[in-house]
Amino acid sequence: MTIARVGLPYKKVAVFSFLVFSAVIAVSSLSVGQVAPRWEFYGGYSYLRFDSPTLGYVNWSNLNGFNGEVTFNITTRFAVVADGSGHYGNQLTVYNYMLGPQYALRRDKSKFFVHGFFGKAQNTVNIATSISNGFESVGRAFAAGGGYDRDLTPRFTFRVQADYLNTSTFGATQNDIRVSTGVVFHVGHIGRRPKL
Amino acid sequence: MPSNRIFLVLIVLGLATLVGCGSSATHTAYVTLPNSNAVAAYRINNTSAQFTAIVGSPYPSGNSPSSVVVHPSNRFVYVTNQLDNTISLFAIDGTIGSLKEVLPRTRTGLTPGSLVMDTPGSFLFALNQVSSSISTYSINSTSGALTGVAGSPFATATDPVALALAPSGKFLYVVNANLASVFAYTVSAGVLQPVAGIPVQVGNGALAITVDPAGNLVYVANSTDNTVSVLAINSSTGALTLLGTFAVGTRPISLVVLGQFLYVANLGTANISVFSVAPTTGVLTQVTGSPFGTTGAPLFEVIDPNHLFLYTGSQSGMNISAQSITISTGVLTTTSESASTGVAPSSMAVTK
Repeated sequence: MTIARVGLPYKKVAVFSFLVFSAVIAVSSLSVGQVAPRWEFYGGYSYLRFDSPTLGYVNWSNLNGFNGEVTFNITTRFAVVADGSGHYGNQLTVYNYMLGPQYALRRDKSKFFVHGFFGKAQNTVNIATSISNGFESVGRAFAAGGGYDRDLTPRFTFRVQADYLNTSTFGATQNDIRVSTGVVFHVGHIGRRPKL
Repeated sequence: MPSNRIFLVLIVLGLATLVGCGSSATHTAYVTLPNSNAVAAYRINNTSAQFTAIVGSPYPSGNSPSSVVVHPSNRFVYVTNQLDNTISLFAIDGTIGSLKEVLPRTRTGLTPGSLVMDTPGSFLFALNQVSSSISTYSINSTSGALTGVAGSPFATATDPVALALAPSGKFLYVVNANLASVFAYTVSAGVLQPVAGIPVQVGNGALAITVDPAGNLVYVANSTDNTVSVLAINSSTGALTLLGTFAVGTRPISLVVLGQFLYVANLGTANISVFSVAPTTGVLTQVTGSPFGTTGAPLFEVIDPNHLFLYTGSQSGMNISAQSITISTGVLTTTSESASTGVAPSSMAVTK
């Protein structure tokens, strides 16, 4: 069953992408940190503004949940990230599992980063009908965003990050916003400290 | 650190451009799919008529659902299952608009083809085409459950094909195609009594009937003669008087009224004839540009609750399409909004 649909909010996505890119340019003059952890393990609270009208709802949904990431820093700038999140609301459960590259700029105790992820979306609508207690759809997902880390101790860092999340489930495309904050745990190190 | 602040400000601005994603006013529509034994559900944007299928749609019903009505509370949907001789009651999920059937189904007479409900949602009337009767039910406002009215089913002339209820709920009209006639009944607490006098003759192949929202006129589509009959209602007795018969397109199959305009779906010519109606004489005058083409041969029509769009269902096109209405002139304009149902639809109802 196909449905005629109005186009996606490409204009807003373009504006968002331009502002994130501008943010990276704004901080690109920072001197590059010479040391980075080899592994970063992130966990925190996540908020998802979910495009539920594409599933037949009246309004967008505000979902709450978690976000976790494992980052392997190849160099002090480039890394590979595995990202997983779960968000929950009235009748809705949204899981995303993604992988992708990250680019970071470090200075003193700060790290600015941008990333792009690709992977899977698993969305469930928990509504009761005469034949089912819910409906699940699995599709592709991609995300683009960035964030900021601030060292708290040599091992722990505070993080805040935001992503535009695009998923394809239930025969429609969802355009979502995800915002997350939490703590990063560091293991190992790479690079060397600059000579004084 | 100025660069930190710049970075955070830019990110916040970026989020602001996307977070302002709100919602638009919408209504829902339910469409019977006889070949799938199911009912499809769509959310429709009030302004653009964009269709979005509701998750889980279509929802299973009985065998060969033929007619659908929505309770004015927007909490229940009723569907006649023509080959089961039953009525399905569905509860509407208040958040998403999905349907869950409430069992057991209610028995009717043989081959229930059409349903009408009174304006307050107190009584439901099902036309039984093979057993030539009308089953009437009172509706529980809390549960939506149906209870047969004493004396139901009420006999009609043989082979009734369509029925319509006056907005007052006091009079009910039944079309018999083989007799080319309209029969009138008074309605009191769901109990039907024939209006005294002989039935009113209309054209050959009468298949559809409707009453104008003011409760003054009845319109009948005569699919063999390619005409529409206009009849006046006696507000005291419910008796009908034929005012005139007017030519329309080939095989008129459906009628709806909005304000001073009558919309006639012509199955044979795949278009909609639009007429302005003289309120006293019932004279029909075709509006400029009429008839208006449709996407596929139209079988049924529904006016949206905001009176902005005319939805047309096509069995050959297996779709529901929307045309915008110019309220002052009755003119229809084709839109790009439509929904493919996948199989032939048979009827449609919308929430308020």
